[in-house]
Amino acid sequence: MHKKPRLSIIIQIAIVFILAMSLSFCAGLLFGRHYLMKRAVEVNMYTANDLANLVRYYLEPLMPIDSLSDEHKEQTRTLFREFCINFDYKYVYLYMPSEDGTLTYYFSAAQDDAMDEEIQRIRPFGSTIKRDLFKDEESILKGEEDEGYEFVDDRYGNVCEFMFALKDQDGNLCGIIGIDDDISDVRKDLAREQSTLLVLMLVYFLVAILVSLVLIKRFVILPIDNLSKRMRRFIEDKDAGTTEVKTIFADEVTDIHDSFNKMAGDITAYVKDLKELTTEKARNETQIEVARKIQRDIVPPDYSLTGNGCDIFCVEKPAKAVGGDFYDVFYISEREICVTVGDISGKGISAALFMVMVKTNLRNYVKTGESLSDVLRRVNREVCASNSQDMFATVFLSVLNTETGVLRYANAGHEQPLVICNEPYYLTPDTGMALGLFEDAAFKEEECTLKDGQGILVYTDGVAESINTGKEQYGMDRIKETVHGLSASCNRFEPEEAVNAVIDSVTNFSKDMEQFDDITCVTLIYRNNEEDRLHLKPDMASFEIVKEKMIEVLGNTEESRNMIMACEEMFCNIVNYSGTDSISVVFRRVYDLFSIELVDSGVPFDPINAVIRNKDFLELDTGGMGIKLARLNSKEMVYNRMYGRNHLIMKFEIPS
Amino acid sequence: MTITKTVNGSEATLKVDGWLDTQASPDMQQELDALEPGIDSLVLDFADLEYISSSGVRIVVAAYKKMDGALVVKNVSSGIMSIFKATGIDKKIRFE
Repeated sequence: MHKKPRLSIIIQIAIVFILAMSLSFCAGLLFGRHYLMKRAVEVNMYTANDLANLVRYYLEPLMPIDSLSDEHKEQTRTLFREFCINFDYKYVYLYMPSEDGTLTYYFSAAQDDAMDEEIQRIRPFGSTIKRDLFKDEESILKGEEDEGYEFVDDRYGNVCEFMFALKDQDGNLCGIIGIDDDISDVRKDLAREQSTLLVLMLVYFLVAILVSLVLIKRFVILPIDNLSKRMRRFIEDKDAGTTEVKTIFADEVTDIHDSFNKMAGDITAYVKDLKELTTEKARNETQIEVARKIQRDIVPPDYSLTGNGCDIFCVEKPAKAVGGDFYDVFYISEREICVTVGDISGKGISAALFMVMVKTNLRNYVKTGESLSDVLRRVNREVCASNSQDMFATVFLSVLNTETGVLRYANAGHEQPLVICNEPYYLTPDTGMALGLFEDAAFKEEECTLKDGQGILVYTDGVAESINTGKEQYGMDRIKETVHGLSASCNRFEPEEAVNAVIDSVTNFSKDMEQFDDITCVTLIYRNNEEDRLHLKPDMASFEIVKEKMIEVLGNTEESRNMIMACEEMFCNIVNYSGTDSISVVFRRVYDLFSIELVDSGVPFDPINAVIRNKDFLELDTGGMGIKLARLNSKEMVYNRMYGRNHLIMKFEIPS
Repeated sequence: MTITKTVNGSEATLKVDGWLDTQASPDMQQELDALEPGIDSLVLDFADLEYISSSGVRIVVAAYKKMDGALVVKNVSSGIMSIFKATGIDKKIRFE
């Protein structure tokens, strides 16, 4: 933006004052001069009129003038001269103008002796001159006026020429009596008086300007300056409090100060509020973040378990930072594994807290070994007893016998689970009642038998009720179709594959839409085919079998040899340190991932979380590099300790 | 794994071919132990080494200690070099 030149408001006011003053001076000078001159003429005209009357009085009996004798002419001129001297006029004369501008002089006299002599010579009786008539002369000639005047400046001096008509008894104009009054003195006086007045006015104005500027500065500019300073230093001085402005009256300036004080107060209060609010918000966010982490520990985003007789994969995607969905997977005994999926009404911290209560209760009661209907009944009572917020939870509770494939289940108002097989279908358990609603709700335990490779997919309503941009629900049919599509493309269901297929399908279905509910999906596949499993003697010669399998799947390249090395390191660890009497190995291929599960019944050892001490170079001949190399050269390692066994899954990316 | 040993005065060269895995490591260790007393520097030629496990890395370190640092490792493939780097021994051992 163009920067304006800076000019203090007080200077601006002074300039306006001076301009106004100059203008009024000029006007005063012009109009004052004219007015004063006019006044002076009018005053003198009375005197001149008296003289004119004397001339009339003398001349009227002697009319007509042309017929005067020389003696009378001489007497009259002498009289005119006396008038000049006695009445103090510069010239007194009688003349007759005609319309063509010819002036005929009869008598002329001057006050000054030399001038009188000259005028007698150049204006003798009957002499004529020619000039433009004065305005008043014309009026008198036409008979409109009897008197008039004109200022004349010529070589005879500065005069005011008074003109009076001289008429005969019939009222005809016989001549004009000219009386010239010297006005050079009057002009000088006028100029002197005006300049005195001018100086006085100047002084008066200057004093007035000075006083008003001082007052304006004191009562307007200073308070505004002061305010401007406070505005500039608002942040630094915000705690300095309000100030009073010193003026005699309450005026606009005090208004501005009051407004500023109010604004400053408002802003200070507002900023204080905002600060408190921000601090509070940050504190809450920290709390929510902690809650989220705790919840993530209780219900991890994904979880996989490859156990004795079953493979399980779970995914939970909360819609908000803290969700209310949950799943739980745990062994009841060596042969029985429990899978629970639940959905809490509502979202956020309250739902998460409620979820923890339901999940903990379920786990505790399931472990007592009671029937699943009794478990739900008892948990429902517990939940009802401490549910002031009228929350509720739908739960699907199931227990798989990993030896027989019998799946016992009970439902508390949850979605129907899908049975995964070549022709997937929905289980139709007794609907039951969501936990936390009615204290006396009843539940029913049912069962079905899974064959090897079959399983169930349990999900929450966030899956089935996901909507797309056309407000259409994803629906149970699409879940079934997705799983059915998998069965067509492979002959063995992997739980991770099934869950990911459903989640991908849902995500794709409702793309461009915000996820409005938590999405949880759990798949359990029953495995009783022991042929998949290698039972190896715990020595390094056994590793040859693993090595051959790995070369078969991964190829024999520099890259794959490093993967084999990673596996050898962990195998070697088990052989050397676990004290196990056998090592089971399960190979699995999911998409482009090749996973090898090593199961041993030796001493517990978690290589994922084991702390590796960095050894000095010269100590390296004693080992301590294996785990590090295994971690570096595998895609992922997952460790579980279940029923006296170490389960270590090593995953490798199959090179394309 | 096959090991070819050549002796040139007081310098011995061990050319190690194939897979130096946990099972093969004792053989390698034996070869190292069997070096004549007059040998005071050792070259390990890994030109045809396809595979090495941590037990193999340990023997390389043991060889370094036995030779008081007079050890040179030659012709290491990039895959095996990455293992040396991961264990940090590349900082001490001289590679050619």
